[in-house]
Amino acid sequence: MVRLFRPSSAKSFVRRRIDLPLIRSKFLQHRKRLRYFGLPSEGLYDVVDWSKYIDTVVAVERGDPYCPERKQSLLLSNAIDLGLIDRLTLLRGEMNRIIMYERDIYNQRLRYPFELVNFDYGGSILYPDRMRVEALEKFIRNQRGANFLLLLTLNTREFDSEEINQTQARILAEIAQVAPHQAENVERRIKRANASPHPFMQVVRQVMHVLYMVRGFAEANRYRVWWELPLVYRGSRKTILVHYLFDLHHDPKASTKVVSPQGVMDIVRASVRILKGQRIRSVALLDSSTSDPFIRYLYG
Amino acid sequence: MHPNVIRASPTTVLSDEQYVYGHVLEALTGGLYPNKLDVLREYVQNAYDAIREYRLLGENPNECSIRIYTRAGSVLIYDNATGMDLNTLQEYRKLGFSKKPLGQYAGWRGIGKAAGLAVAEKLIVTTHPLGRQEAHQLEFRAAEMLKVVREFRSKGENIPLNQLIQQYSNIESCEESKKKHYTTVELCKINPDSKELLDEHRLIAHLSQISPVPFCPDFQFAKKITRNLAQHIEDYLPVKMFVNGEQIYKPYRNTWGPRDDRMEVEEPEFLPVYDQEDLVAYCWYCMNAGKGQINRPVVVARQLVDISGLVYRIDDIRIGDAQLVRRTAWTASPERAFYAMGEIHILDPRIEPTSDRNDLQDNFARLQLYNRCNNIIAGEINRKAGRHSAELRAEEKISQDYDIIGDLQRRMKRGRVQKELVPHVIYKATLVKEDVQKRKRYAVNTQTIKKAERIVRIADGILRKMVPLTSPDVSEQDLAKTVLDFPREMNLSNETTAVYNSVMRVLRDFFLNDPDIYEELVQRIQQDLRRAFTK
Repeated sequence: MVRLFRPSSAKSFVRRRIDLPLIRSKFLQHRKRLRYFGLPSEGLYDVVDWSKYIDTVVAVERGDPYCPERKQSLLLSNAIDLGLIDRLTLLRGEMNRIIMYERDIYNQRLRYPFELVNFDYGGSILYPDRMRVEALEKFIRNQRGANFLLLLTLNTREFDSEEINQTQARILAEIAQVAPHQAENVERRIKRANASPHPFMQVVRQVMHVLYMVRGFAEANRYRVWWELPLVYRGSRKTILVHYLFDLHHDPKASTKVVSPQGVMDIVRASVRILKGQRIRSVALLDSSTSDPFIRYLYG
Repeated sequence: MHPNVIRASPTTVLSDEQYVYGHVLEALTGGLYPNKLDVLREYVQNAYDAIREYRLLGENPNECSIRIYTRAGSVLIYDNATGMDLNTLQEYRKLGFSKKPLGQYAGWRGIGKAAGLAVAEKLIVTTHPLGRQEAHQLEFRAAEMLKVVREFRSKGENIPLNQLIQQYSNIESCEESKKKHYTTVELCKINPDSKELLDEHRLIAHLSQISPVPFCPDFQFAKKITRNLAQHIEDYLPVKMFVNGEQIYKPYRNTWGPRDDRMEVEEPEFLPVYDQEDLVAYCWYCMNAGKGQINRPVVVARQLVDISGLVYRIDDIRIGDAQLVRRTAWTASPERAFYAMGEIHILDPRIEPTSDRNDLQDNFARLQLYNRCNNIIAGEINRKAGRHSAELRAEEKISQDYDIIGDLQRRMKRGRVQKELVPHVIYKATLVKEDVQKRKRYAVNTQTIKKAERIVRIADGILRKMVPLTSPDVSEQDLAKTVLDFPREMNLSNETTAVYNSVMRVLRDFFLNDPDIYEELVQRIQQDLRRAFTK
């Protein structure tokens, strides 16, 4: 059969204990159920867990390359079995292409906006073709003023280290403008992190890049962005996953780029949360000790 | 053994010898379903069988439903009954293979499962067997498979069916939750020439007629009919079926159509058909409460659905249409087949539908059934229809006669009956009296019966006054008291009166068979002459 996506217990924990309270508060704020867009996988686990707060579901499923329809069919079958089908629209194809062309391979239109967006990529954000980054930027632009929660789950494999280095340079340049007295100190700490051979440094590099990137896309589109501390956990097959939670608020009156409450200094000062079993510990992003038992657990 | 029969020795059969080739696939798929919507019936039937099997396992079949969804170029048929284990799913790839015993399930030939190959690019069956911690998925790459068959055919070559199915289908399995039990068939990427399968309204209208679904709650007699069917049909099981979330029902109604011209049917009647002591068919029908045939379709999902006539059903799945019953059960007055609506549930296990389910297979049991349906069902409906027509005609005609006799009576009271028309009035009154006396026995309405009696009384009165006037001995004075003598009224001279009488005689003789025209002419001539003489 198709290789089924089986959520690890950590993933279920993240969905129920980390995401759900935030989604609930978004629902209370919004005063109606949220329109969902994302990659729920054939099991629709996230949609099931959050269904109380979700109105319509636009799910994207690419399927396996050798037979894309199998997983798509399984997703639809599960949606019928779970009683979700009446709320569900399945867009078939690759997420980035669907966002870029606003249509799926069956020519179904992607209709904006959404209040809950779950890009559970599992893979990385940066590939040499930058398609995923471009799609994310276009997605935020196409939301056209709707406030929304953006959940991103990425693994820490690096396919474009040079771009991450460039992002770090941009962060340092911005710090040099807003807090020149801190610049030298931050640069030293970043260099030390980059120099460390420990795999956790990939988390550090990615978190800085993703927070900075999303903040940039959001602010350019008049969104104030507020992010939760990223959560790092072990996925299935020993992958290290980082889960990001962004709350984007549109400022319709702004005529220029807006400024988020969390600035560039908050990014370099940020901590990440590490999940071990059902316990969570925060560790400083740039000054974490790799001998921390939670970090050791990740790579154990 | 007959000397001409050569029995092949098992040793002459090669183990890899092929007996069935790819072209069969075209015949079993597209060839069987000229109406593309019938493809769905095959999957509905399989789902229905799974629900019946679920009941046989002691589970509650009311928990089950069949759900059909159209989603961007695909159709999904889902049921949450038993699901299929790996062995059963493997049998799905075997055409003409079925373990379903004849007479216990709606399908048993093992070919309907391939119906979707003709209409979709891919056929994907996803199934979770009941009580098992596993799931299986079968994929048929239909378009590729049929393309290969056509390519071979264009070259005059053949490909063994075995090889074809092995090459273009596969099954994969995995572990899954034990709680789930369902089967979904997805007809993936429906071909452009089968687009009707994606038309939700047409699906609803079609499936409501052919599927084993409950009667519409709006149908006043639904409960009564369902109760009766359940009492007489051992495994009667209407199932909940939804198309894109909308539940579908059989299209029968007790009233329908526009308010000023509504169709209405009478209370249902039930007719068991026995072969000695065995119940071989069970029929319910509702006669049209109005006049004649049920000639107005009902609207189901914006589609017009004809519910007139009776239909055969086996396992509550429709076989053919009302024309089939008309053709096979009605030998006399076939038009009366449509005076009622209803169903004939065939219970004789010897009677099987044809593969396309548009007819019954030709055998002796079928012949017997047709004869019994003719004697019992068609006979009864014809009698009822005849009686019903007579009743309705009686109401209508007595009402008309009442108007005619009323008009004659009024004319007589005013003394406006022309002398020339006295025979005509006698003829009319006699005719009305005879007609009313004949129809009175069919009248059921007490008012109509009273009306009929009154007509006879009035007609008798008219005849009592008019008949003596035709006697040669009647005096001019008596005549003048009762009728209108035009020449005398206009003081015509003897010559003119003679001319007038002569004209009237010619006209009367000429229109002997058309007294109404004669009456009209007399009145118009008199009117015209009156105007001319008054000037």
